[in-house]
Amino acid sequence: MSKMRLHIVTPHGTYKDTDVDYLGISTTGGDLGILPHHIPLATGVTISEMHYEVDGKTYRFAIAGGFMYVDADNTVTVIGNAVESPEEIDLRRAEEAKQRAESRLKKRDQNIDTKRAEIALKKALIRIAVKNGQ
Amino acid sequence: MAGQMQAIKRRIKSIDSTRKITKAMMLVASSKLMKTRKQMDNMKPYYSQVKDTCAEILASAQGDVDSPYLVRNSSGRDVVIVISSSLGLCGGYNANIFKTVEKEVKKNDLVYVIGHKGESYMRSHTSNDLNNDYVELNSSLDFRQIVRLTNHLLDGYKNKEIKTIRIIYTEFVNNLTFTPRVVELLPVSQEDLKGEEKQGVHKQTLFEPSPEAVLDSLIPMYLQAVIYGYLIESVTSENASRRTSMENATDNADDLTEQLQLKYNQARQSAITNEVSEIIAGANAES
Repeated sequence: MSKMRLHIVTPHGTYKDTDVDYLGISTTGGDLGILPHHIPLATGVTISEMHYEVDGKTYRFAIAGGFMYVDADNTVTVIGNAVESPEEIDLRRAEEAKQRAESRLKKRDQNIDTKRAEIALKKALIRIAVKNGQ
Repeated sequence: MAGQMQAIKRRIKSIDSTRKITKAMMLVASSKLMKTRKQMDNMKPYYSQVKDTCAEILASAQGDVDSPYLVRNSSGRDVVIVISSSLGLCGGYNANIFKTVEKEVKKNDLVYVIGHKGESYMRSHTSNDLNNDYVELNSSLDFRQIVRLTNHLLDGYKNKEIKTIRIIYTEFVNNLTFTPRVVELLPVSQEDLKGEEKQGVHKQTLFEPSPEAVLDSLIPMYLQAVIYGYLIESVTSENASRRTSMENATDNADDLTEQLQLKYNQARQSAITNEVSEIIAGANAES
């Protein structure tokens, strides 16, 4: 089966550079499945779970939003603010973040705070889901 | 004679202990320098990828994209971000930044300071409005803080409260050369982005949902990458500058102790000569 190159970069360096069969990712325009030799595509990535498959095995990650770019030379580049595998996720921290965000949302002081708390809550929920979905 | 010798001995001792400190600081600065240089290299793929994609979108949209970040606001304040250090003893690093600040920052600009030295300089030398929410950023290098800062600035820009955003940072040329630079971050200059684009290749890239939407989500990431990159570059310069100045200080201390040691030996020699001649003179007188 033909593969494509998946390149995941974060501000702290290249996170992963590997050949994969399939990439499933949630974009601003909806969920997308990318197979090798996709046409060039650029789109935003939401705070979500993404996964790729290599030789029948699935690898899952939590991504805290970012950007995806499919190039004509069979390369997919995912630029993420933070990308974590289930092993790297600190469940306790995620739970704490979730509780913090929830209590902040209940207070409802100002608009900006609500928006930030919502994003934090979303990130925490995705992390927990990815961690527990193993 | 003995008093002079004592004084020299004391000076040697004090210089020696200063030398120990400068040497230790040099070692610390070198290891920090290595760390930040590595961070700088790690950061590069992220930065260049974001930049290339931005350039490609602008190129394939043939200037049709309409983004609030590309248009120059006619109202609002000018914002300047100044990156300095929090610790001293780093040679001309801060002085060079302040010289640039003097030239570039106008009276009514709102200044975001990063680094405590910059904060105290702005307070004592200028009357500009300051924002010191992010003053610790140069030591924490926390990307989430950068995201917060960027979002805050972008919101201000979209609401036309901010006219332009500039950043004053120190460019890291090599281990010995650093130059302060001023760069305009917003509005995003299309020329800057296009500069490094591979020409000729026109791939018919699909933009989901639309080029504008993609650009709107990409420009904040671009700015985060740029600010983070400049910050790391400044910190690298700071460490390199500290390393060099501490190295010079250590060398100076070595020179000084060498000279003083020579003086001490001379004094000791002349004291001995003196004593010997006194004894001889005494012996001669008795016989």
